[in-house]
Amino acid sequence: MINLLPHILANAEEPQGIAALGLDPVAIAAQAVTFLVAFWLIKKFALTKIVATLEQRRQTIDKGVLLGREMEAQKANLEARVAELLKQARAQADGIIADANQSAGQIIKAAEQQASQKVETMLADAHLKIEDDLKRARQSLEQEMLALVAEATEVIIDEKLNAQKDNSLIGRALAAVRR
Amino acid sequence: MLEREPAAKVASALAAYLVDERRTRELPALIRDLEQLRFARDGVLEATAVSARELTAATRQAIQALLPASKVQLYTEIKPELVGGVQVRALDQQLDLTIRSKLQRLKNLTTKAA
Repeated sequence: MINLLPHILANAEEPQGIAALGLDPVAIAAQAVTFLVAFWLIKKFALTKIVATLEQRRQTIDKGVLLGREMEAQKANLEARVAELLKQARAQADGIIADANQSAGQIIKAAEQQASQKVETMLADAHLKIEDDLKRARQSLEQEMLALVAEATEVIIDEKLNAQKDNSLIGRALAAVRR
Repeated sequence: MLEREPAAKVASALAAYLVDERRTRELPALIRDLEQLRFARDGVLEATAVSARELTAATRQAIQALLPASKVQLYTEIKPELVGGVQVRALDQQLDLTIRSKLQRLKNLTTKAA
């Protein structure tokens, strides 16, 4: 088979000017006109609405962003307020705990003092009772001892005393009375 | 009344009266009153000496000499529980020199102190 392509290419005319670059000015102009017409049509019938829609979207987005920023600010404020409230609550809680601890300490101290006084009173009562018991026991013992002494004396005197001695004793007693 | 009626009869009537009226508790006081009447009228003092043993004549004389009367009628009584000494009662007065009373005072010492 004979290859004809190189011969065809060799025999073709060489293009001149802009055509040498492979561009057709007519086609370019037609395309420009077509573009302009298309641009005019788009601008006339669609671009305004598209722009309006885009503007509306942009505004919506801006509003959303603004709202988000406001919400962030409010959140920050809220967090700050919450933190402040937490701080106040903690301070109040600390104060309440301190007051409670102080009150508890005072109550415990008062209870200790009361208990101490009660113990002292009980001890004093116990001492008094012991002293009273001792006194009573001592008196009872003395009474018992004196009773024993009297009984023993009575027995001894009864054994030792006869009529003569008794009369002598009576005589001395009467003489003492006479004096 | 004592002059006109015999003493035994008066005493019986008095005893009957006291029993009837249930006033026998007043008998000691009545006797003391009678003793005082006799002492005031006759100057005779009736006295009672109570002792644990028999009193000798000298002791009786000593007791009579102690009493404030020229005439003393002394009655004696024996109570062994007195242990010793003598207790003399005359009119409404009493002199207690017995050992029993001294021992009793000794026993009562702590009771009085308490």
